[in-house]
Amino acid sequence: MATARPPILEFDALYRTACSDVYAYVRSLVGDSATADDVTAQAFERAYRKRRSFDARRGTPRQWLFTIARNASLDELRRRKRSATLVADAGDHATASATAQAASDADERADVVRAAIASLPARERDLIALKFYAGLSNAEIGATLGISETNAGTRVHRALSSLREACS
Amino acid sequence: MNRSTHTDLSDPPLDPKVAAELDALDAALRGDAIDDDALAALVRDVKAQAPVMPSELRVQLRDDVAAGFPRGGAAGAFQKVLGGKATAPGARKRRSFAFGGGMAVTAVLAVFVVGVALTQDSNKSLTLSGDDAEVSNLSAPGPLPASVSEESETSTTSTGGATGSTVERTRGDGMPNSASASDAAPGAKDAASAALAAGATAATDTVAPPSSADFESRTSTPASGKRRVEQAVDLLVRVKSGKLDEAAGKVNDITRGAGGFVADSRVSVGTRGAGSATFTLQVASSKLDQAIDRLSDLGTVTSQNQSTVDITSSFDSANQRLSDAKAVRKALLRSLAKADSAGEIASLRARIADNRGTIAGLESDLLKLNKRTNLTTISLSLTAPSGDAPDSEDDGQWSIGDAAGDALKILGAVSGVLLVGAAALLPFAILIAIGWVIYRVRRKRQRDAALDD
Repeated sequence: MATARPPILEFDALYRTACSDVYAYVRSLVGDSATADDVTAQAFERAYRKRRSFDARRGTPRQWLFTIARNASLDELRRRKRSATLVADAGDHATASATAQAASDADERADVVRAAIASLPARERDLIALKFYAGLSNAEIGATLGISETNAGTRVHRALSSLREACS
Repeated sequence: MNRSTHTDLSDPPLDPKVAAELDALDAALRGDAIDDDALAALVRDVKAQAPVMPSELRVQLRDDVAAGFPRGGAAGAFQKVLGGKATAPGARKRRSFAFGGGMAVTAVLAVFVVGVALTQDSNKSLTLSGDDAEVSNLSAPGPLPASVSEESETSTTSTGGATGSTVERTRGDGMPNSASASDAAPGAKDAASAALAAGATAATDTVAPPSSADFESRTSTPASGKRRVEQAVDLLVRVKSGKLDEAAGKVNDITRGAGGFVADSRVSVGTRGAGSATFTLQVASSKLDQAIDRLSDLGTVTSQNQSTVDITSSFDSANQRLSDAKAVRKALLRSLAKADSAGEIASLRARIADNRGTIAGLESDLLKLNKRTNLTTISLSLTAPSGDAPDSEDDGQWSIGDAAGDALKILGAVSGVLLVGAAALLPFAILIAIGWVIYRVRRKRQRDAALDD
């Protein structure tokens, strides 16, 4: 009986659609931009090396890529023995707002949100990043974390509640 | 990106309110309009805080992906951070392949070596069922060299002043014995015999082919100046099915041609051409080699055991005692001629009579010893397999069947070795697998712990 050949992973397409999100997610975990650059590159190289081992039955390419990115980030955190901080330097994101002399309502709101995210426990920041930056479904988050979809949904909801509370 | 379901067989379903809020979150993340304005604003604000990928990194990664990470990567920059050395992916891939291949080859070799070691240790040969089918005994075209296909076993004995020597060669698998089989190529028989003799001689100086000349050169010169050697041969010959009668009939002719006689014979013929026969032959020692050659031509020699016993000292002793007895007789006869009393004469005659008996006995002993050296006993066994049995009589010709049989033997032996090796290494493989699982679990826990504040 002929077995169906597994689909070939379109790595170029995956890179194009996910590179920014991977960077945002990695950056949210490791904190500083230099480390985020290296870990992002490391994650893509790992994924490229392992692209033939991708199994579509075990998840989507995007979830597979973010699992690799998460492991690379956690390895780096372990190595450096430091926890991630979402807001590390002021020069990367929201630069315009940071450099603006006249703080608008939008800027104030951005600061509040940024501070709220930074105040979350690392595990909840991880979930927020997986949901908001990686754009993974609860099932994909569950697969990435090695937990069930329901459990992932519960945790995401808890993290979302914490974030809403911190922003209020 | 839609949630397929919020239920799981192993988990309780989500609270409907939670599920609805998660659905709204997913919709907001997709850009759809939702009723919860606060959540929509939060999603918009958080997404706005997403770190922006530097353009330099984007360009570098794009090039790396397009080229398959030719610079080792991400690598490049990341390795610098780690203080390591970037490696070209091609070389890394080749090294990875070589490492994997090397591990596989090493594993197979380890299994094979362990299997060979275990099977050698338990059987002392590459046999699977304990029979005589050795790996080396293949039905290769033509006769096998004696040094490969035969076992030579030598020993010496020294009992009661007599020195013995045996030369044995066996073939346990029924394959053609090139040392004596008739189907050997011309000259091969002599060459094999020479090789056998050479091997025996090389094994020890005291062991040699049964030649009285060698004994004379090896040991002290006997009193008589001539070595007296008794020889005996055990010969097992396998003949073709149904050919036992014919072979047995030739045994008489061969024995007579060797100046001897058949001392004992027993022939038993069974059904389907099977049967066996045993003979005790006495042949002239001077024609022993000729007799063995002709008897070997009856079929395939599967075992040959040739022994010699040096009885020179026994012969010399008997000869000396005979000379002494004869000297005593002469002295007694001289005394009898000079005796003058009836009593003395009667006494001397009685002693002469005893002496005559002694001389007769010693002469008889000498005659027997002469016979033992002049004649050699051959214990010959002929066996013929049943016609139903596989034809074990190899005609020395190569065939596809022979090759297939050899291939099966090798396959079976190798399979057995690998099986034994794998079984021996299985506990180690299990330990390695357990260690690998523990390593993976531990690494996962360490990664999870990396998020603990």
